Amino acid sequence: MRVAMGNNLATELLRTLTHRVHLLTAEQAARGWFATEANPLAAAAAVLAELSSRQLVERAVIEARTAGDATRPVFQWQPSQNTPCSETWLALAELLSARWSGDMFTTEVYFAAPRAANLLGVRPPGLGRPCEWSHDLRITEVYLYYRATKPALARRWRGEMARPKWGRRIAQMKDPDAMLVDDDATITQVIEIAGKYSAAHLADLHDHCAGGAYERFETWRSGAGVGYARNPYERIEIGYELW
Amino acid sequence: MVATPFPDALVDFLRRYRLATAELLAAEHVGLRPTPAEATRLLETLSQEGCLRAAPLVPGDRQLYYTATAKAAKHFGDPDLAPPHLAVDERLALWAIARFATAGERFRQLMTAAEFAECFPDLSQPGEPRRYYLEQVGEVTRLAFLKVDLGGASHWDRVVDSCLRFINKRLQGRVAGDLFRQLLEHDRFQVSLLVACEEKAEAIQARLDLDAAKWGAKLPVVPYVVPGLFDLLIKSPLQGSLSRRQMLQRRRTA
Repeated sequence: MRVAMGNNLATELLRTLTHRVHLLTAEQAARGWFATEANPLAAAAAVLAELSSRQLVERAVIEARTAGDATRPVFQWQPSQNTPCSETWLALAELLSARWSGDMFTTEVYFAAPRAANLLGVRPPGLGRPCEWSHDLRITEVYLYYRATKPALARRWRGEMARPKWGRRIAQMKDPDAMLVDDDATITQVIEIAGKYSAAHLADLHDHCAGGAYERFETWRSGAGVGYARNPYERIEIGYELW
Repeated sequence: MVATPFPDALVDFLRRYRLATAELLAAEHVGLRPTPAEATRLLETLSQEGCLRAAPLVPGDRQLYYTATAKAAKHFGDPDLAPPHLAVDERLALWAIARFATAGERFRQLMTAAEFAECFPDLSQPGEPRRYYLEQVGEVTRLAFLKVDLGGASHWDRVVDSCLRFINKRLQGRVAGDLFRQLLEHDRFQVSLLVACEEKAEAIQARLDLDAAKWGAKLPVVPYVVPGLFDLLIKSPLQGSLSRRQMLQRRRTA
């Protein structure tokens, strides 16, 4: 199949792999972008092969495992709600620890090549470490769920690769897996794919979203001496979803 | 001898931007021909007479660009009118500049080397790239230098470092350095950085903000998105893997 480069789907895949998710299988691409084609998988594979031949994406075979249903979050919190108690974190940690135990499977994935990353203004994401692959494929699943059911929010989705790494500059600052942002790039929602997180880790993540990130950013900003343009956490308390 | 009248506006366009496309000549601010189809007819006629050379903007693609030939340069007594062979990255950079200058929301006329030397004699240096124009920002008019980001094979924000080097280099000259410093101090200079997409423009803006927080001063770099550049770049072979020295050697050989 000959693919016209520069078409919207090829561009959309590149934007997805540089600003929204790390990895994508041909099957996920087929489901997300080529569902109306006569043979969605063949169409997706052809576009990805063309992007690969132009050194815009790279491919690799990985081993990963699924972590169950990706149609609703495991846990969510909004600023209007109370702060969860320590028992909640303990119960949630137990649940999260049990769910990453399915069988491993092998799959071919695509990720943005340095050329695409340079064109679109992000660090080349690379393939990541083997221990991140299951997590990265789940991010893609959640993004596809958003795309299918909440397209307006999906357009506001920014992966961690598309945001400054504040965790490298600001002590104890976290860089969540994905965020929804408004027109001014202010974060309106945090999305985290929860690994085998401990109760303490979950409480830290809650603190990050419930005002901790805002305060750390303000402290850093005043210490830097010059006003950084915006505090991306200026809503102070930000809702989050754990998937 | 040139049989078909060579419009003065086309000569002027080629002097400033070095290449032309039918779409650019038909753009609202240029208006050399009312439609791309009519501009194509003019360009094809002049090509058949050996005054212009046509080639695909991106190898294997349908969109053509045109440059003046030695015959046309001789006819107009301007050896600079005919550029040497343009590598893919050079022609894409020139296309991006021409697209930004002549077919954007605002017309920004690039200065010829002679015009720049006349307006800014103390800043003008032999061999200076023809990439200056005047940018209107509210009530302020800035001297602007155009840089084009083609992605390339290096770090995504290397182009910002390149802008910094450009500015530092121009601050070093004794006379030109003082004048350049005054322009910077009075907010009368900017590097206009042409990029392929909004995402890159936003990322560069974020890097500039971070640098400003770190150093206490903001680099006078303003990113602009050039419509159509992204599609051309993803269709073109990977650029940026050659060093400047390799590029110059290749150009000399050509």
